[in-house]
Amino acid sequence: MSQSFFPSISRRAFLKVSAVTAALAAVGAKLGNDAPLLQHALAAPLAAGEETFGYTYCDMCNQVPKCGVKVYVRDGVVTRLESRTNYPNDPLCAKGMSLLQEEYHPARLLYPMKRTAPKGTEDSKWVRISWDEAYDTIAKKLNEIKTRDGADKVLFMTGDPKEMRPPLQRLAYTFGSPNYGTESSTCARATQVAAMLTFGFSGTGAMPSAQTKTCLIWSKNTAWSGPYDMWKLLDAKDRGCKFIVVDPRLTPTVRNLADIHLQLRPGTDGALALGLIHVVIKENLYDADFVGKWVHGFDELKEYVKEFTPDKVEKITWVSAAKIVEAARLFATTRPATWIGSASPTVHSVNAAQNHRAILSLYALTGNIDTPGGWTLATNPLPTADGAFNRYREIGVKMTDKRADIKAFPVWAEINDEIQVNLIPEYVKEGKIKAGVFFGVNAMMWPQSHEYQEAFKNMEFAVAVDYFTRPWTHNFVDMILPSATALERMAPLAVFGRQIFHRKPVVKPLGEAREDWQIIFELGAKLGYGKEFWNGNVEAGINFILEPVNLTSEKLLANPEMVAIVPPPGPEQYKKYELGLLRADKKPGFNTPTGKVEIASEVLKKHKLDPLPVYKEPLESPISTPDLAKKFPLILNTGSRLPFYTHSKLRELPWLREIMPHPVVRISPADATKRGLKDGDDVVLETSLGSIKMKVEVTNLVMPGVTDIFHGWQQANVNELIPRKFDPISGYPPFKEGLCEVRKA
Amino acid sequence: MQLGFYLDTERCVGCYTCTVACKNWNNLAPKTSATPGVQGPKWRRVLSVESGSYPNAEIVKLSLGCQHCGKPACVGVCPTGALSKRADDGVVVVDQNKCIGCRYCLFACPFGAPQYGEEGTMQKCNLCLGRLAEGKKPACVDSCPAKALHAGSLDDLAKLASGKAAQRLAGATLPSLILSTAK
Repeated sequence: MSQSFFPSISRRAFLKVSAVTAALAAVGAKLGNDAPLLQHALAAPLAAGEETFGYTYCDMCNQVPKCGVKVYVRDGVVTRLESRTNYPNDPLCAKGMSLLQEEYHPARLLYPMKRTAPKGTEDSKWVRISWDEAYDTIAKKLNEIKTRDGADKVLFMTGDPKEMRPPLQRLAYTFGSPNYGTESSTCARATQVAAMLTFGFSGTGAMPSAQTKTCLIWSKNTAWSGPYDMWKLLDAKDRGCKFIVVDPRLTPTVRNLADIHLQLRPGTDGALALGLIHVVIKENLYDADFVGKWVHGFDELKEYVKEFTPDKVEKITWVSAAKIVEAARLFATTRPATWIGSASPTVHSVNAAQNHRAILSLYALTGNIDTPGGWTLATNPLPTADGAFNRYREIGVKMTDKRADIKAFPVWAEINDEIQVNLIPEYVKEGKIKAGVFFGVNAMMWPQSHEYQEAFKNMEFAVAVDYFTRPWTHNFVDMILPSATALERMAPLAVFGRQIFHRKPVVKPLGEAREDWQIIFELGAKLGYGKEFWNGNVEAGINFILEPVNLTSEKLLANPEMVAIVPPPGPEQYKKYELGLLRADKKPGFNTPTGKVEIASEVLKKHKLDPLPVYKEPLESPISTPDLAKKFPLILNTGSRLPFYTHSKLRELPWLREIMPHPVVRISPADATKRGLKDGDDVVLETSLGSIKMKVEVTNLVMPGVTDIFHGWQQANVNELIPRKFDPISGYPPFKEGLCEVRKA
Repeated sequence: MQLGFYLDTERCVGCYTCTVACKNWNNLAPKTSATPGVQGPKWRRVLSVESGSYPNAEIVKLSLGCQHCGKPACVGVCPTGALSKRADDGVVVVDQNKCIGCRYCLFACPFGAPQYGEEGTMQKCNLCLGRLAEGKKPACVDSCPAKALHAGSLDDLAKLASGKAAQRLAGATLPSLILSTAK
């Protein structure tokens, strides 16, 4: 023991580290080589030539912008990679570190294929076809439908990653269909709907800056869902920034950052936010000046939150009244304060938008909007933002009446250019959609996934583009096309603030894979829009995007780092709502109907919905459905993130699959004891809608009474246990509002 | 000089980036099979150490490789002299030409650090000596998204950890691993 190294540490701190080392000694005995059996077939034999390197940006998760990768290549074969330095997003995570296993995976889809067995059969009997045959078939089918039923009957949809969104959107509108949609229909878009309704701008908060004194992290486990940001948060903590973390789980983000952990029952975020607001208003801790000038609906909110006393909110959320008061005081009084929201935890609810608006309302009361150290907004976004390229304002907006979602989700349709795709089964049944062009889409993203498989099957024609054949989805489409990977493609650009990064393909595409943008451009040309799609030339399309900043693809690639920094037209400015920088009419104020932060939303009022951020109990819960809770006493909490898988992706990669080989449900030690379960047992997870088989992981990560389940396992698709009920504002499903039971298999 | 690792347990988040970065840089199995149950050699692994219970639960994440011990048990039990401790930097390495794959080192190591490879010999963390020679950090350290893991001489690592509650991991083999928690 070398305690003498560190003479200055406190007795308490020393005991803490001693406890860790003692625990380590205890587990040390269990460690061993858990893998004597190996399959050893080198996918990419190491060649002897000279090693060179190239750069790309990673697409293993579905976030934008992406992390930088330095790729080593020998004789045209990728040998290994590491994080790119001097790049805005770094370092890579475990997923990014596995890029080359995806590249050389023996099961990669490398050629266009058409089915020769009927859709829905187990073996599709895929047969290789040429790209010409593929394009001819697609163009013929789509144009047939366009002539017979109208172009709007064709759905264009992207899943994962997001890189092909702008050109596919451009293709949809150019072809004449407003029905372009994305996986954001179940991911983050509801938070943006909530923010647009409330503030007139979208976003999920801002990272703490040097000035930030308090940071509220609401249900985001940055450590696992966005590892590249974790060191920045830890550094902020070292600087003295206080952290309040809201999360039902004891995540590493909570464990390593939280000064106050608000460990709530899943689905009660709205009630917790209203409880915090109750304290902030009651104790006069809000920014009265900002609220008086810039908040619409404060008096109604004040009246509404009267009932959300800390004691009542403790009963709803399971967070102690004392902690609610402590957190409200810290957040409201220690300014500047920022907040970090997550994509989806607060909105996987049939009360999605209002839950999230309650959190935004709390934030509005503290006045930290667009202040240094608060939730800052970009002063000078680049004019290359894809607005012009995607042609929404030019064409898309004029076809609103033909949107498939306009009747079911009018608020969503008023705010979003993309359509809400969660009613695809209905759209197909009602004849609104007859064909689909899908990039990286997986039917597992929806509740009652089999209804979406059925809808794909019932389309007259469906084509999917992917890296792999994914039977769960592709068994129900007519044709599959091979996409080039992040190591093989050029488009799109990666934009960080005013820095624009470009890339050259690091290696040639394997087989006949083509990059997504190229497929879309070539298909556009084949459909009769050669001019609009630069006759299939991706680089010409990139040049079109770069025109407003006087750059070209060639100029960017000539730079050794393939980057350009476009100088801003002026300095950063704060409180842009005072300066007339947020509204199209240049008047001071927010871009909302009243020009203020709308805690009471005029848009919701217009659509005859409750204008206030009202709380509703989860669809199923011990409070809303007490009888069901007797049979299914555990909260079904799904959709959390793992650091080594993205949704349904990456299970085929050996380095990642060995970390978690089987579908897992996590429960607390207390709940495991009650059920006679031990870590690693085979279990059945059951809800009123059915059951799936999983392994149980017994862990302190979850609190008693709650489960934690990762989605996207095709042999145990938890979304089949979620009902198809949707939030009327955002169209979001209740992924975190169920009840279940776990028993030994 | 003795090279080793320093892990800040108040920063480690158990994201497995170190494990996979090590496999990527050192070209470790499994390479093509993602069959559940098939596990490759892990020169670095991530442990989750839990204690207490709700609402006072604790979970500590630990990233562990070879500790390049001061008195390495693996070297002592090796019947062929394949394992050795380098005199100049204390790094413990395997000579593939001498190893017969008897796995005595694996059984002797308190951490199970030496791994049995498909070639029938032992393999283990060598602190990325090739990267060190190029002035780079080991792959696991370089890749750590939380900046929790460090490598270097134990004296330098001790300075880095000063001001934190830290200690060299106790053990008869004198592991060259410093662990710290917050101040």
